[in-house]
Amino acid sequence: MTAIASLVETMPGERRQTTAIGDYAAIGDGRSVALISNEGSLDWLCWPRFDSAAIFCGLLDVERGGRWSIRRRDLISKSRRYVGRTNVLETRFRTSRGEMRLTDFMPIVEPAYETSHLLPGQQIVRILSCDAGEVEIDVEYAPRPGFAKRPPRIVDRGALGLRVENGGAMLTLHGDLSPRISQHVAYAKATLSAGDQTSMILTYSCESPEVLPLLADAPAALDRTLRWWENWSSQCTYRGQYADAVSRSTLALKLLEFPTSGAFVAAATTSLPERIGGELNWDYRYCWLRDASVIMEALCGTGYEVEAHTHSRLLCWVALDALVRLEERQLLHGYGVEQFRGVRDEIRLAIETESWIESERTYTNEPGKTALDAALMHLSLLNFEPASSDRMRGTYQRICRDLGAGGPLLYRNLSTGEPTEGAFGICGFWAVEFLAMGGGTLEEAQHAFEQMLAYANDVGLYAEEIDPNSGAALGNFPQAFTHVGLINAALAIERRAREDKAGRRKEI
Amino acid sequence: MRSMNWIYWGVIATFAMMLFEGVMQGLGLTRMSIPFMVGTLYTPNRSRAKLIGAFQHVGHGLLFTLVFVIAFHLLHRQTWWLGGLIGLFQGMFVLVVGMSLLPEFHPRMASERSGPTAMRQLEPPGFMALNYGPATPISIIVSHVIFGIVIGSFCNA
Repeated sequence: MTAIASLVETMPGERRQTTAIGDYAAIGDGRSVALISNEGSLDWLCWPRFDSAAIFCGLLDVERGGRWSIRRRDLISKSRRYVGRTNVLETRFRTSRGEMRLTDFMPIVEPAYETSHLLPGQQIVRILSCDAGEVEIDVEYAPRPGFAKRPPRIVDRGALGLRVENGGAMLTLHGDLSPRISQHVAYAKATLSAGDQTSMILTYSCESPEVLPLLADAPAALDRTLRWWENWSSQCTYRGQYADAVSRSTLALKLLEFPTSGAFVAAATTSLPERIGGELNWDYRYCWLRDASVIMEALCGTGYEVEAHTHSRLLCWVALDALVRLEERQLLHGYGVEQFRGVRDEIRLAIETESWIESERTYTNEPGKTALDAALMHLSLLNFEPASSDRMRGTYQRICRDLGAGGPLLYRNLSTGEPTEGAFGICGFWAVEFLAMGGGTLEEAQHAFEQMLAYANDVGLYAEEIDPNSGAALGNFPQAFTHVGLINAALAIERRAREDKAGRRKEI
Repeated sequence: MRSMNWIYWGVIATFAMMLFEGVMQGLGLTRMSIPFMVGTLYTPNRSRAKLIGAFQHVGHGLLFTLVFVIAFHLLHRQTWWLGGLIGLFQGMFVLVVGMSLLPEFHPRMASERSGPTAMRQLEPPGFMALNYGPATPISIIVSHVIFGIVIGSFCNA
């Protein structure tokens, strides 16, 4: 049985510890993402959508940002994982007196189930299970809607939960622990014995009557959510040697998809620093339309042809090449393909002559200049030039020499001559892909890939950047682009392995 | 034709009422959705409930249009302000009496005291429907006044 004891709160004057970005794991339901630290503290949540104002933002301000934490007394060790190929997070705590499991998830159900059952709008479920001995827990619930502009009024409505009015919406915490509210924070304490299980459910609703969650239904909601994610994951066709890492990346990307439009937000967070103490604190909770052909059109239309970078030209070449190929397959008629072919060839010539420096044996970021950008590897990744060509091997060597940040890590560029931010995770994975596509051997690609895998956090997630000195995650988290890079690199290795095998067979 | 007059003015008055309620909800002044509340009497399917609830809301509007028409005949007077006054009383009755009784007859509504159960998961409205937002009483009363003013002004049955 759950024994409700006296109530506790943070000791006056106790200084909270900032949690490293890489110590978070993400849960979500396709509309929003919550970040939970390896200590079991939910420190980031934007409801009802990715781009809504944060309800918990302790991730950004540990003192004022709010949290929903579940702490254990006398902690000895902790570990966590995602349950199978799902986005259900399980954190295990061992204390001097027992062992406890904390399972965090946002419920998702199949559409058919939704049409036959009344379900709360948006929810986060936290299930606490004591597996051995006895564990004392302290719960701290400190919502701070509107990016903690002002502390909210928490009202205890008994069976209806702890309620917070948030503009036109209602945030409600349901649980069977007896809370005490003090200075805009609710505290509760409980002692769980082996076999005990208790749940807390946070709901958010813009419509009344709200559908109240059933605490007793939490284990069933967990089963339904596990089934949903496992079903989704089973559609992944990658069966290579890096299946776990690829699966985790696809699951991370799925968390960042906004299902209404099918767009992917760049990351789940805003304002996390790409350089500690620096100014690079962007809001990544949006879809960035990096449509280079539109950018190129705008540049040309406003007389900035000279400003066009090699990468912009490359993407225009890719677009035109795709059109020409469609025509060659007789899938495109009457669109002046000859003109497209002519412009495509002109762009190729421009890149090969203006963006190539013979004396340095490298392509450059901008025509006539010597600066490099890791995106130059796209010349091979987008099939403009084989990775095995002398030109691309030379370019790759220069990229490693000038932009190398140690091991497999690469800076994106060094426009100011000195690193102003961390190494970009995706650039490291581009290098792996480049090697796998012929820029190196299969073994070199696999080695670099495995080195990159070591920079994931304990549950396989990446931020945008990596601190080359400490290996710490930097910038917004989890970052879609880095996981896209991982998947593409794994697929390239898989293709290369197949090609090498087929090649060997031919030789025999 | 005149005998049908109350029907279309009843529909128009109900639409005006629903429009006002929708604007109040859209502006975040109340969370209350009457179509959802009424529709869940019949189905747990959220979107179907709203559709059924909206139709039933119009049906209720027509029923109350008849009540208003009878009241005008009995009082030998029909003006916009009398319609508004009857609407005010109706709104207050719904707010104070109707909302407090709702959990008793709504098969899916929980009670304030015992909370949700497997069969009853909907949040009860509470005193003057304040559980649905602090401006909900205003929304209910003003929407009924609007309904009464439209009927009092235009319905000629």
